[in-house]
Amino acid sequence: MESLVYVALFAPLVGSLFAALFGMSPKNLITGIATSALLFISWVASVLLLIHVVGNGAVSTTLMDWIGAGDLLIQFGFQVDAVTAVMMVVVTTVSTVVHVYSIGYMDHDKGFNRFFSYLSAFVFSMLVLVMSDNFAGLFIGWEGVGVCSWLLIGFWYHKEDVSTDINPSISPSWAANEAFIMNRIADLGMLIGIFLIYWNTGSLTYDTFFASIPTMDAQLLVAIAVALFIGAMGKSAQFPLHTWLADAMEGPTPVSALIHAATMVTAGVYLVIRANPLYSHEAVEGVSLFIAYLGTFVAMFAATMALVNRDLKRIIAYSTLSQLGYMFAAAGLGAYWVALFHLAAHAFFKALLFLGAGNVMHAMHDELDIFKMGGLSKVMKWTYIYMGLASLALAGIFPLAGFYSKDTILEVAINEDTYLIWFALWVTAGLTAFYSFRQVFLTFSGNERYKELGHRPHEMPNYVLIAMAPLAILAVIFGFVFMDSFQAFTSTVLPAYEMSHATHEIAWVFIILTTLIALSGIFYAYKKYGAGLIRDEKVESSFVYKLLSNQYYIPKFYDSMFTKPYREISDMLWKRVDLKIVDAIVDAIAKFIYFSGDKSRAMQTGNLSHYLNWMAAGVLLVAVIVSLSAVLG
Amino acid sequence: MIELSHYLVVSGILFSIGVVGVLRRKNLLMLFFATEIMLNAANIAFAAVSSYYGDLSGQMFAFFIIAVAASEVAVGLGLLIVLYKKQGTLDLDDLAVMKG
Amino acid sequence: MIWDLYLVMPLALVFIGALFLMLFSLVKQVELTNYNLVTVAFLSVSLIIELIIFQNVEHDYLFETIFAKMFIVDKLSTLFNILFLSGAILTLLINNNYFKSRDYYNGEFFALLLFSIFGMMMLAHTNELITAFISIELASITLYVLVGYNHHSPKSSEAMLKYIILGSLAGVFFILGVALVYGVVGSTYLGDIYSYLIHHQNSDISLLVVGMMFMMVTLLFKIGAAPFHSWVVDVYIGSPFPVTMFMATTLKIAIFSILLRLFLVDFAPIYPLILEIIKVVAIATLLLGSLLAIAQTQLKGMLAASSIVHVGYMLMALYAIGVGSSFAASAIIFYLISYFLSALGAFGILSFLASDEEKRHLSFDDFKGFAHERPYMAAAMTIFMLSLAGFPSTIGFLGKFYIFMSVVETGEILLAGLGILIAFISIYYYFKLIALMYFYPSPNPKKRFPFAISTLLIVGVALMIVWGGIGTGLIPFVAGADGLLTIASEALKTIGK
Repeated sequence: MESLVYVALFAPLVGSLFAALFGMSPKNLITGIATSALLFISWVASVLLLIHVVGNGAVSTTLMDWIGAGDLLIQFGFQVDAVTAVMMVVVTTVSTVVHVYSIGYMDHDKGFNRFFSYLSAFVFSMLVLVMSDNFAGLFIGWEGVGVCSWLLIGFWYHKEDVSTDINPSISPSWAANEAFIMNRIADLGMLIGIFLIYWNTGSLTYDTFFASIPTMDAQLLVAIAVALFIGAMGKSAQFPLHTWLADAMEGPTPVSALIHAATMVTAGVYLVIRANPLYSHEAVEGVSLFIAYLGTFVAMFAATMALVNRDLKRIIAYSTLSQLGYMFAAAGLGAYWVALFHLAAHAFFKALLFLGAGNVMHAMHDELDIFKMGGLSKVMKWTYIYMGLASLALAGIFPLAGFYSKDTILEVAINEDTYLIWFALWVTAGLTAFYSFRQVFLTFSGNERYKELGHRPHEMPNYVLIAMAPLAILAVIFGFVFMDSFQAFTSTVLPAYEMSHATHEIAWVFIILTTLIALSGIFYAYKKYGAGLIRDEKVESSFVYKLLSNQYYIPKFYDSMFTKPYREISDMLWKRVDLKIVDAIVDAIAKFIYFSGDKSRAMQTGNLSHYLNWMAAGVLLVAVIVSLSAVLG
Repeated sequence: MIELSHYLVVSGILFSIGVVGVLRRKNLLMLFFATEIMLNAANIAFAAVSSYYGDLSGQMFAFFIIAVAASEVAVGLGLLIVLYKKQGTLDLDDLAVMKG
Repeated sequence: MIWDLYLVMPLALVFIGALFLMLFSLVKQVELTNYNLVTVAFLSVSLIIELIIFQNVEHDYLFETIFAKMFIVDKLSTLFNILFLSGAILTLLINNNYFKSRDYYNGEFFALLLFSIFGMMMLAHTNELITAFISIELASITLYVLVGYNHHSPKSSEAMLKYIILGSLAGVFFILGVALVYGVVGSTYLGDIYSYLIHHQNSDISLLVVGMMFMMVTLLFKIGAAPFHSWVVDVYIGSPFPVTMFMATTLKIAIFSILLRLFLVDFAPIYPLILEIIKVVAIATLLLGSLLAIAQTQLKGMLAASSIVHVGYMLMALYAIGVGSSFAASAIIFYLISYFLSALGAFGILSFLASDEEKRHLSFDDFKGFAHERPYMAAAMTIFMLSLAGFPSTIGFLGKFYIFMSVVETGEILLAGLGILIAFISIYYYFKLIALMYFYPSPNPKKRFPFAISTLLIVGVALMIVWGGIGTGLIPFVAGADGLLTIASEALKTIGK
């Protein structure tokens, strides 16, 4: 079984290195095919591991002692238990599809080979993150996905700042840096958490840490929980560190599908789920409740921003944010398996949605404004079906995946008697249904507005559409086929969360309520946009609309609160401190080194008789030291 | 009676002469001579110690050292001939041109 | 007897090979590549036998009835022999093009190289001081000739001149030291010196200490430690590339083999007297070597000067042995291996380039934009530089890490701090090359990766460095970086007292 672990883990790395070999050369189809094939191998290994874990329990293996000297021992170990196995299958499934998809999508791109190298490197890092059996490995993977995400968001780094009427003026490289910096801020919190763990337990493996939780001080536990959650907030783009996710849409669409919907952003949720013994400890109750409320807030907050946005990808990005909020709400309430279930279901339908958006973009020559589309269902039938299915799943319509996972989260909220959370999430479910179908109808039905712009849309090649099929199938069947076995399976690792009897009795009421609000959201969207775009000046000039379309003015607020003052301070520091003091010191050191280097060159005269003298002097020196140590010692 | 220490003193004196020669002489040939003198100082010491202990191996060592010294000189003299042909001098200070 | 014959096979093969090539070189119309292949063949067979011997040798003396305890065969000597042989094989294969591109190479060159290796291998086996002297001289005298092999170049002759004068002077000190030791102890076997020191703790041992000190001087000279380092830069720059590569990789290791034997066993009773020397010499070597390396304008000179710095690190660990570190000795062997690989690669690339383009002087400026001209070679060079600088994820990092850990273990925090500081300074001159390669446009068009034995071997060495640095366990049945440490300590255990 260990070999399967290594196959699953290293196949993407091999692919990445292979593609990197061709990094500087022009497009070579072999890189795309080889990386996809290797990922498929990784997927097969993951599925086999999942089956093995279902039957025989967790697999763990120590790859190597990386550094061992004296007391210090840093080990690289991996473990595959139920949670990891699920994550692995999700990650490899989505990334295999995305790799195949990218062969078509990146067809004309100059950096074709480089792209696949990055993409596979990302998958490798993500696998390290989920498979590690200790916080050190987790952190390495965590930083690895951060770096790969930075590389991939900024993949089109040569693109200039383009301001459009729907987009704030940002360039890919700006977005990449924003994502990177926001994540580093959060990682600082995470590092503190990891250090705290190391200081107090002397080990970084999960098992040791979890075993020592009962004996640890309550305040310390709270500190660790908060620190780790700050890290999770950054990676999963929770308020107030959420702005980078929408801007990250500057990257190529397959990247958005893989990283910013299905895998990397869920790392924060994974961390909370993984650290469930910590977060379910009674001393940390407050933190967990805070996580639940923050998640609920973000779910609603992001959904409202999606209501008015006109950018195809940003709408999906906000919806991702919103769904991450749902996951945190579930995890915060202690229903870890529900959070994981929603994570998996969401990964499938959200990746499908993104890839569909990619198809549309490809057809529309990178046009993203849904106000300029419409009526595309005629030319892009399959994309329409895919995106429709994904949106139905996202809206939570029976019997698609989203219905099961989202509904369970709402049930959990009832079960925990947190009615405020239930209500907010319930309203959000309606909003979700509305904005998803607003997008679908504006893009695919109604009048063909794109004709004015002279676009000639066309469907993607067949193999791309076929590659997307697994995601579509999973988005449909994942809920009703896998839910029960999923619950049973994950309960081997995660605390079993059972609804109380009362909740069971009245659950059907809430199911109907949720379905009703979702259906009415869809219906309203159909009424408003089904026939075509009718713009309403009065609504668009209202305060609420502006507030929402400007993302609550948070990016502007950050700009004036942090970016500008920082620039001013650093400007001043540069002029006053750096130029005058630091530079002078550095110059002095450099001069000294050069000077002494020249002096020692002078010693190296090249004259043999000098060398002979040096040697005699050396012998004398040795003799003196020996006699001194003999006399003194 | 000549004892071991006398031999060792002679050997020491010879060695010192060699060291001074190496340090003061500028002619390459003389440099090799000086090195030879030092080696022979060591040979005397070996032979003396060998007879003091009544252990023949010391004298055997001396033969080995003579052989090693001879081969060293053979290589060295070869080099000297090449240098003299090329540069027309064997003076140390004139020969060294390279600066590290 | 059969067992002895088996153990002596690698040595005998190299010796027979040398003689054979000596005779063979009289045949004038043989191509150079064939000489090279014959040499490599002899060395390879020897290497294979040596690898087998390593598995099952413990502690033996060669032909004990004839040579008494003069030649020892243990894991340490076998390990060192493996290094010499693989170093020589790699040197020869990587430089095949270089040999062909110059007109002064002939069959004798390979014979001399084999004699030199024979000397080094003997040195690794030696258990007696006169044998040690003869082996050192055998290895050195042949090297003198090799250094001056380019008889067209005044630089080469000058390098040989300096090396031979200084080297023979250093040799004299060794033999004088041996004479003094012989005078006091009455024997020249390594173990006898140790037992004499243990049994005569109250008698006057000053003459013995002086003798050992002279021996130390010679060994310090041969590894190029300050203040006996002045020859290193000139000789390295003056010699032909293959010889520089051979010297940098193998000779140093050979000297360390006898240094470790002497230091671990015979010097143990007088550590208080000599540790201060080692410490002072280590510090001086680190500082002077760094300054020299900064000042170099030629790449070969920089590598030469930086090799002095690397010796400084190993002397630090030698000091740590004396103070009582448990794994400093293995750390030295590990460091030797890591330096061996990195230097082999770096010099290999230099000689590959020098064989390719006659005009290249290989100063730093010649490497401007190298990454755009030859991306793969530049990547390999980057790996070698990173490893030499001790950058994490290369084997060089682990080497430095183990050395610093062993020094810290003895409580000498300041010395370890100095070592780390020097490592930081070294980043300056190693990264200078990396920056030159990547941050300048290339004057020449991009070239294809030349698929040849030499380039593939260079890439192979680069991969080994990364593999050794990242860790192990990835490939079953192959010992990794920490495996090397285990092998080193295993080899050290077989040293008899």
